[in-house]
Amino acid sequence: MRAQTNLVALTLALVFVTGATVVGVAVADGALAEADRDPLDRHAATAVADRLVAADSPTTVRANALNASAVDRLNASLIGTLAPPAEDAALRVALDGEPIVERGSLAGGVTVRRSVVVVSRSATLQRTINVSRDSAVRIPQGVDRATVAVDPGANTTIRTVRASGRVVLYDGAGLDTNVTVHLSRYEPTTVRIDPGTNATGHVAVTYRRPLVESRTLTVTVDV
Amino acid sequence: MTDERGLVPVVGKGLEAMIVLLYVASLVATLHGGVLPEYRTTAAAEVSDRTLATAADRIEASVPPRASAVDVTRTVALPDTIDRAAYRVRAVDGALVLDHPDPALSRRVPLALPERVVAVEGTWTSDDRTVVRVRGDGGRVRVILS
Repeated sequence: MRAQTNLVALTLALVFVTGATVVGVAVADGALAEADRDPLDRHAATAVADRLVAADSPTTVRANALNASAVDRLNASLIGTLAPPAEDAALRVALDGEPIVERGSLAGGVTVRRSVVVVSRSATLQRTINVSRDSAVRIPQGVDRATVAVDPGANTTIRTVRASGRVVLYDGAGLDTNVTVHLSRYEPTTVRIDPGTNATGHVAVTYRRPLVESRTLTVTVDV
Repeated sequence: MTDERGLVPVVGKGLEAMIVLLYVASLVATLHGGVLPEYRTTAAAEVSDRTLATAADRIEASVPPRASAVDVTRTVALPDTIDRAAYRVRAVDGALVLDHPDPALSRRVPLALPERVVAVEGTWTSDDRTVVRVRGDGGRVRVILS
């Protein structure tokens, strides 16, 4: 009888040990499943976001500044060309939650966000200097290039065009051209000419003013 | 008669010892035969994914913005072994390939690089020096794994 009591205790102990092992394996299973962080999804999503906002990307005007018309033209195959890791993946690209590009059905996937500005250019604006009356015109902030058309009247020589004091055009024999000059976009620019007395003619400055909106670019990719 | 009665507890204890031994043996067999290798493979697959994704990230990040001259040398930290085996990371046709002795742990991921990168070449061995070098001028940049 005493031996049989021992046997019961032993069986009970073995059942407990089995239970503990099963629980341990289950916990380890859960830990292993949770440790999957989809690194390849993350890599693809980061690659898409980085290539879209890179300075040399066809979708930007400079780093982190998207070109609005390029964004309108954006499609999944262009994204695949820019970022090969997302070539055949299900993906969604959105600006402030508004989808731009969607392909496939996303089941999970990894989302990355980038703070960007979207730049669209206004219609052409023109300011003209009537040389007989004034000698300067003011260009607002944010314009990085402008076309200057110098059209001097009779008996007038315009040698120099300055933008905020910097000489951008000079011809000792007198200017009569139509060229694009680069301006600083960080501050308003004053385009100034220095004609002599009794000068006539026109200097037309043509530019497009960029409209900048701050947005959040969201890229979700599921490889 | 008295002799046989003396034997009963010995037989009982022997039986218990046998049961415990059998139990332990079966437990070890189950864990080592099924559960452990499966976990090892799953963990190795995850490590392999991460290794390749990290390496690709590092290579992509080492290409600087457009400049007249580019000369970047950067060390990329890789695990020495995956599932106790050394492996190689190769650049093939603009993609990064992880070559592991176990085909189930081999991986391939395309690289997202700017257009001015004309070539990605070279091979890394996991237990050796792993350095990415980027050389080039304004228009053409080469990425070399060495």
